[in-house]
Amino acid sequence: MLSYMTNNLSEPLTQKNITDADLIGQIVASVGKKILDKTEAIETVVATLIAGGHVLLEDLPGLGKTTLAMSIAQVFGMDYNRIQLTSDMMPSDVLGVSIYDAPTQTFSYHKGPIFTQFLLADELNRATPKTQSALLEAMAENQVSMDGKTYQLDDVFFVMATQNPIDEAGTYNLPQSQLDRFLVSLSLGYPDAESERQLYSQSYMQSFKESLPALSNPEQLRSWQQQALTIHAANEVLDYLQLLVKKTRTHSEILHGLSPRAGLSLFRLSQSLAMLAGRDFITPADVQRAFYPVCRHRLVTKDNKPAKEIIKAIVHDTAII
Amino acid sequence: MKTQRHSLYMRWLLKKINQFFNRRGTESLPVTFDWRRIYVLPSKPGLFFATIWFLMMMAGLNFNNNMSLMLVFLLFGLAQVLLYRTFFNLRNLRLEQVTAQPAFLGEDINLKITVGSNDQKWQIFAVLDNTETVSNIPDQTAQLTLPCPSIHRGWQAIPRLKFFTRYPIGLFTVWAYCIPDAKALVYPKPEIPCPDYPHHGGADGQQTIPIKGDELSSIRDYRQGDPIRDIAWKKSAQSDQTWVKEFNQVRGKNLLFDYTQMDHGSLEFKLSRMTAWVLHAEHQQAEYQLVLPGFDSGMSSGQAHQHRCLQALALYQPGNQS
Amino acid sequence: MSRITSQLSQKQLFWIVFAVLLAVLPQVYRLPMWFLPMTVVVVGYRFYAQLHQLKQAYNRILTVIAIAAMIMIIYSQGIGLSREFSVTILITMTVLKLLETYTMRDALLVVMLCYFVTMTRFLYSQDLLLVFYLLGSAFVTTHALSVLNYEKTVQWFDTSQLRATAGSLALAVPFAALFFLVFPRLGAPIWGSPDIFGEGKTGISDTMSPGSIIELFMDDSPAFRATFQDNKIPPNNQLYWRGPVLWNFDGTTWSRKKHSKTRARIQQYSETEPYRYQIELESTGQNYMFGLDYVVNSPSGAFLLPDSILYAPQKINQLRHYELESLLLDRFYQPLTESDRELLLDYPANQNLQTQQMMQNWQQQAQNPIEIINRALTWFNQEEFYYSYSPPPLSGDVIDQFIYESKRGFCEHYASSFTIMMRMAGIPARVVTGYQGGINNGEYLLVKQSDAHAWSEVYIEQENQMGYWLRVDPTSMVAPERVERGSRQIMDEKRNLIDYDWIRNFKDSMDRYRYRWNQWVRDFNVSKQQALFEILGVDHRDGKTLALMMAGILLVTGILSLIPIWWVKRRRFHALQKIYLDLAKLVRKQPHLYQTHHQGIETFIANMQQHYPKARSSLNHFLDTYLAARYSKKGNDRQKTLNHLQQTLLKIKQVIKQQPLQ
Repeated sequence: MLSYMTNNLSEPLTQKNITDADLIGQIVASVGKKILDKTEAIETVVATLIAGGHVLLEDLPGLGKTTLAMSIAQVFGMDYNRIQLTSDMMPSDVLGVSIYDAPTQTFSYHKGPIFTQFLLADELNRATPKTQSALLEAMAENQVSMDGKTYQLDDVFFVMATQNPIDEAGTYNLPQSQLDRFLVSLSLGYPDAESERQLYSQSYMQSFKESLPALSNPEQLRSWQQQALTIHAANEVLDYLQLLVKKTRTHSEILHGLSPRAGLSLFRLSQSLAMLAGRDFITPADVQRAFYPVCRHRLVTKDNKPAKEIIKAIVHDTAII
Repeated sequence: MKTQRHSLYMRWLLKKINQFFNRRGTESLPVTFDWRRIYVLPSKPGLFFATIWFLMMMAGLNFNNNMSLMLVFLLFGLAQVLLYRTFFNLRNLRLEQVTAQPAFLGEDINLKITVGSNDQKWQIFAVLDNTETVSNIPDQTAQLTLPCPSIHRGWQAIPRLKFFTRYPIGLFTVWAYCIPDAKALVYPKPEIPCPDYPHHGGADGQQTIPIKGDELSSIRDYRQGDPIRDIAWKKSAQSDQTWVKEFNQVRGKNLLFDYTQMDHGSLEFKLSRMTAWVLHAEHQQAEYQLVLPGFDSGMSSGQAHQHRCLQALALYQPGNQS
Repeated sequence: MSRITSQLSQKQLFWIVFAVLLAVLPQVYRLPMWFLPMTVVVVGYRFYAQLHQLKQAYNRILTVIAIAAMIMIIYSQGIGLSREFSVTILITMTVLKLLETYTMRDALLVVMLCYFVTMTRFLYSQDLLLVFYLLGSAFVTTHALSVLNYEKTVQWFDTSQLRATAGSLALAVPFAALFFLVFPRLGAPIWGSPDIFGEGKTGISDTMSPGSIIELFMDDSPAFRATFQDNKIPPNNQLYWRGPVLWNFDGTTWSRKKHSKTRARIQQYSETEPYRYQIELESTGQNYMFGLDYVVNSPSGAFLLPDSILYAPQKINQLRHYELESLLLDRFYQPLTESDRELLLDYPANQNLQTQQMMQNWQQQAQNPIEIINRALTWFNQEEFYYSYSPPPLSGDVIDQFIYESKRGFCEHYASSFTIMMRMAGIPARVVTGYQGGINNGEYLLVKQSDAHAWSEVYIEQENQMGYWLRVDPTSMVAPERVERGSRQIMDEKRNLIDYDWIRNFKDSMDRYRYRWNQWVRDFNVSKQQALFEILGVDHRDGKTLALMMAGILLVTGILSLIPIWWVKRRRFHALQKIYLDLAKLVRKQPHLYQTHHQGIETFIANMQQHYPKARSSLNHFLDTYLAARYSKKGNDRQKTLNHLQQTLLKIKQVIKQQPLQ
């Protein structure tokens, strides 16, 4: 646990805790070598992982979604599966299938790609609603029900789903209730000019091919997940968090504000962001940082106005002194 | 109108006063009403209170009735305290946002006004012309809805808003003005009843008169030229009028509304008619395309498409063809 | 005129009615009999109409009701510009107005009239206890206004709104007190005289008929207060407060003699020092003022009549103060004219023959008048006479009946009988009414209406038309404790249902406050105000000074009442927030940077670090310490952390000072 030495303020952190926070820092830095100029997005993904949630990535192709997913799976030493969703995919293609085994005269279950620790579900909105909901249900319950039997997924189970926001033809937009299952939604966006230039450099090309060394393991991740739940939030911070949530509900340009579950998501993400920062308590800045990724896919705005400006304005106008 | 009866001097005075009130011009939100922009005057009940108070004071002074004077001075002190209370009830009110849903010309624009405050505020009125609405701010923010008459097509600036309060006793009116930097989109007024679709063809050059579907959608008045088989005999027999059944149109019709191909009528008449078509086509879930000089919506349907079309109609200026 | 349904909610109506009833209630006792039933009917109907959503009654009906009420008022009180008449009309119309209180406008009118109605109560009395009425009525009326303006909740007694009203009133009190003292008063009424609107009250009158004093015995309200110089108070049996002196007796009623002269000042005071005292006389509605027997000279503004009565030219309708000197003389020497002597020997000739007979016998047997007096007193003492507040009624030959049959009575009976007996025996005598005794509460002597008394004065003639007055109190022969210890001691019977000693004692001790109240509030007037101004150093009472002073007072009270409201409304910060604000203030001169402090310390410090790279490390340190102190779970030593933050803040300040503004 992180703790402050109260008597000697010049020595802020104990030895053990340096390891935890630093290790996470190293992980972020390590992934950052592959995804340039996106530290904040990487941190958000890692924080979501520690908060036990799932990520929805909305990006154009070629912005490094896959790279990000693979790198994170690598540094955490997780099993990694990738499914490319298409409109002709059936739920069994994701969850697995029971096959009649003639010799034994029983049904045997063949596990689908979902039985892994890190699942990259590419172009989720291309799948039919049936497949989408099968996947999302499994995500929510952390288990697969098939023919009256339930199969547990791994303790550490993380989904990173991607959506292509531009190609609208032949897609099935996720309903609001399904979107709520993702803790955060992100968009990597274009790198800045200098980082983009680096992409072309010889050294980057070299390192890009190498896989990242595992800095952690699922076991440790699980313990971090437990630890994140105990991160303390002072009443003042909770007030602030609640106020932000409330403002989304009364805002005139937002049709539907955050649900209580979304509020809880905001809290969880703030907790793990605080852990990333090496603290055992949440500060308002954690909430501010968590607010946009949590709201981004959840808020339904009027006239389809971009949510980003509205969310930014809410944070900006809510004074915290 | 009352104002027309005012003398020249009065009108000049009113103009000057309004100039003073409007001296800040349009302001970008949020705006916090601090003491500099809050005005205070006794309300009508306040004036009545003052009259009774004055009579009481005269009686008390005349007979040097000390307990009467005590009551009189207590009421005076009360009035003073109430003045402050009312003032503080409005002070530091934040006008955070004013948004307006698009409306059709002739309809009221619904203004959604978001106000906020760090402390609790009660009985805050928002006023626009003759309509007012009231709300409390028990916790941080509150929303008020005000109807605003639509005056012309296109972007209409939100007029000056007045916020006032009389809380707690109503002896004083404390108010503030603000002209928010916001505007409302006013679509042209749709022609009613909706005329027949134009004959200048759809995207595929086909006949665009709607084909009747099977589903009964509504019943309307008989209009000249309606086929006999559409007449709703049962209903017509029950009333004096002749009623006609309307059937839902088959989905998938392509309609083209082209401004240049409409030959008669004024600009506003044409826009009004096209607005009615767009609405009707959207209602029938048909695909349609709107073409104005300098604007082509493309063939589509759906709320967003409709909004795009209506906005183009609302903002269309004949000279502006870029 | 259309009939309208009520625009008021039930709660609003309830508060309006509450305000009206409370304002009216303390005057019900003096309003006509039909007033209370009328009020009940009006209020009952109005609530019934509200509950069943009846429309307002036709205006014609309301007019008829109003006219009927007017006629009733004229019938029961007579017409004229009297206080009773105008106040009754105001009150009745306010109550009747409830019948047409359906709109907000009418409701406001009725409620504000309640303030006026409340005020009219003070035209009748300004007793201390009415302060509670003043405050209570003002509170309920104000709250009714508040509910009319805005209903916070539907609860009939919404505590938060009630508290708000109470708070507003409480804040108004200091203002009222200050204004009360300095608001310029009128020396004389501009219109009318205070008599019209004086606080008439019954006291001792200038006639005495059977049972007239008994009303006063029932009344524990103060008659006057006497403050003696150096607190030298005569013994109780010497405290005869002289009121009207009654000369004429017509068989039942005693009455005064009209005088055309005044009595001279007592010139020679020989052995005894005079008592000096000040009297605060409650309003009586009469012209008499009271003083201890015998006053030396008249106070200013009053005459001293030949029978030593103090007589004010105007009726005493307000609290009045005057100073007196008295000599407690046993014998008061005064010449007696022949006509006066005849008057004092007059009695109805063919009445009370039995007594006449007895007195003539006595006169023949006695050597001198003193003997007759003593014999009469002994007779009262030894015969079966009793002191009683409820004697049997007498008629016809009242003296005979009293002396030989009932033998029960109080001072009035004894004084009256004794005086007539003396006259029958040829001794000039008269009845003196007034008060006897008083309660010494340490600072002054309180004389209550129930201390009313009547006694006799006989004239002992000496040679050459000179003689002296001798006070004889026959009641003291029957009930000596009446004179020794005051009227209360002889009251065995309860005068009314709640007549207990402890209540009387409580009332008497309350009088101390009432006295102060009278001194400071009720009797505050131009001269006292002037004295106050002089203390404040303002001795010119010209318009300019007063206007300046009023403006000053308005300003001061304005600020005084502003401060608490502002104090409640101000934003509150705890110690850590204050330190943060201190940090923010360091860069107040850079508005863009300063503004960002609203977004939390982390954003703000990050922005500061960009502006002041040199302060980076101390800012970081400040941030870490601050966040831990404010948001972490550990309850660390708060004061120490605060001190540490302060020190860091100082360091940051130095760095910022060194770096010039960019």
